[in-house]
Amino acid sequence: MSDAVIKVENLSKSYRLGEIRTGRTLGDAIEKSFRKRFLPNTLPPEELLRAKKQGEILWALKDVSFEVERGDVLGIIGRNGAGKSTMLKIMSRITEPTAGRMEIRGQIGSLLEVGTGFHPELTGRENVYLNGALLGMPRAEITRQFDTIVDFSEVAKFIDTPVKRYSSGMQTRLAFAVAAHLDAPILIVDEVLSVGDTAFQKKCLGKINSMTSSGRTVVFVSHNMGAISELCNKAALMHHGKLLGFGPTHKMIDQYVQLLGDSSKAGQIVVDENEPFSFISLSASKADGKPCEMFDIADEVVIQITYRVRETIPELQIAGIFLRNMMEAFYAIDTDAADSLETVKPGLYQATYRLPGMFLKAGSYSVRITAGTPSKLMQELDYALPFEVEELSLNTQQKGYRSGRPGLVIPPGTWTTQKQDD
Amino acid sequence: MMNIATSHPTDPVHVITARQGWRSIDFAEIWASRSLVWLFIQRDLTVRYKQTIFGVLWVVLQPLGITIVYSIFFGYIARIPSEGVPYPVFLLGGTILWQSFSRGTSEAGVSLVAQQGIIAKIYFARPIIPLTPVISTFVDCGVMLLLLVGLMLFFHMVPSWTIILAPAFALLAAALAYAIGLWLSALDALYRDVRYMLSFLIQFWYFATPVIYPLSLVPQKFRFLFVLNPLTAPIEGFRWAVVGNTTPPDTLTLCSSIITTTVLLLTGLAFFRRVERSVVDRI
Repeated sequence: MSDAVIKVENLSKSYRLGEIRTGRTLGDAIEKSFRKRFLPNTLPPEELLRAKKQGEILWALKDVSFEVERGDVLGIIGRNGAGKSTMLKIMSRITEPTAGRMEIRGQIGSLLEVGTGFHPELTGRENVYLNGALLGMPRAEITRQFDTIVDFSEVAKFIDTPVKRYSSGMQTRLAFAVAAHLDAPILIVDEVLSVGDTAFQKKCLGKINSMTSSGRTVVFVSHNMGAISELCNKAALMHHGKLLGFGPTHKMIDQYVQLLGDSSKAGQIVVDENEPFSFISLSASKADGKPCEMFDIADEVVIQITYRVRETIPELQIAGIFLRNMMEAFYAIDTDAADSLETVKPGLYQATYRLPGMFLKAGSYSVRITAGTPSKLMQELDYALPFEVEELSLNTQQKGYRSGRPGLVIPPGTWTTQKQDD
Repeated sequence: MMNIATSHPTDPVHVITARQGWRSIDFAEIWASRSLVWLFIQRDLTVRYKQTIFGVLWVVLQPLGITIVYSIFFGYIARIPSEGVPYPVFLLGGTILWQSFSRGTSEAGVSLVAQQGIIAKIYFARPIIPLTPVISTFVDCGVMLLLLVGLMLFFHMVPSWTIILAPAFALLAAALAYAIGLWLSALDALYRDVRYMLSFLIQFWYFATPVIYPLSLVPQKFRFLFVLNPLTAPIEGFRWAVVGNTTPPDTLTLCSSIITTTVLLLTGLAFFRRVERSVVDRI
């Protein structure tokens, strides 16, 4: 018998498209059942159109099978909407599959979000107990680990203060500290690494590393290929709900990068006339305005984003996360330079973002472009604008920013050195 | 949820499969979650009283206010009979349980949607979600009981020995509140207009239950409606148990209430379980 702790067999999950929408009212349901009974074959034209266009059923997961063995650290990778989160949700029993089965040997600790159930009015201490219990820790276990948790979180001084007085960094640290001490043989982790400041992130990575070396089985979803390749010995590559590959991490990451290269050529922008906001076009070009996919490190890179706004949107923001070799390099929001967010009126807009030459290191880039307000994401384009930066005009052999050296960008700092002893 | 964290290879196997239709109710899972229920209740009570100046006093002030105002209108002006005890005592005897019942039902009825942030991120026995608000509002019952005893002493009355039966009637009302909370919270997750009907339902139920008037005031031909109302027995029973002199519910009404509550509770748990399966995908 193999030592499989998680066995996934032909797992599928579908959503009926009409069902995902919120706010269905009793009136809708009555109308629908009335129509079903008395007016077969008639759907309102717009619903019929939608059903035809997209197919009524969306398969978030389709026939996925794999096995995770004891002590494995599995990374699940894939683009947004590939089915990664659905997989984690089924593993953690939050939602049920439509078909297929999953067998899990042992207790599962699931960290899909740190700080779930934290209540701002409760003190740090009370929240540790509540959050711990929600995660499935018995009370005695929380009591036993309490001091370690508080030490780890670095908020010992404020443990009896209501959490609403904490900074957001303190809240996340405390939340992660509870989660990190969850003593379950199988752990499911979703992107928790993206919390806190760098020092704390390092601590978290270290903690997860030590968890994995203690023979625990971990399933981990992240967009951060750096973390995936550092932590995971195996990876599962998902694409449109299907499992494309399963095996050693570096192989899967290579396959993933290749997949992104293939699929990103197809124009991904779908303009929906009913949405208040849609992207119209994106382009990357050199200073002379010619669209380009290959830049020299000395070239200026000009990103142009054209979008249409159909209703007045208060506080609209366009943001780009620049990924270098699949790792997040930096983040830029179009309102960064403004003092306050402004209301945007309907119309066609073009936003331009200029990156000076000698800023991007050599590598493969793509941009995750999002539009929305501070409270709502309206549109998102993943892995848009793929382009390459190469060291064409310079010999970087001796340079600190040579592509193989640490660091994600070419820093703008300057060195001056003076001899001090005359 | 399995509560014991072990890191041993001989762990129980949990199988996740697609399940259709109705499933049996997992009482063991609910029982295993009792410490979580307790923490939720602690949270609710702490949050409710932490930020108010009078804290626990609010539990007493509200029914006291109702008793004074209603006593003036219904007792003094409308002269509603009160079975030989002072009207304020009669009224408060019914109001205590009614308040807990209506607040518990209302809060439980919207609880599943209110907790959607948590249930989309973490799994725990979901039937405890509507249970928590019911228990925490019935905790107030005990505090309000002290107010009633105080009021009786004011009228030179002493609580009857039958007061030891009061918790049983409170339990019946709480079970009913939980049963209805299960039904409503599941329906609320499916159809948002349920929450708008909720306040109407509660208000209607208030007047259909002998809280502010005695059952003896109701014409004989309508009495059967009160036998069918599962809240009649706990309200009358609680008042009788504490005050002593008022009419206790008859056997028929009591049996009807127990049976209706049990049926609503079991069907509510089953229906809730049927809906909870897909609730995360819908909310």
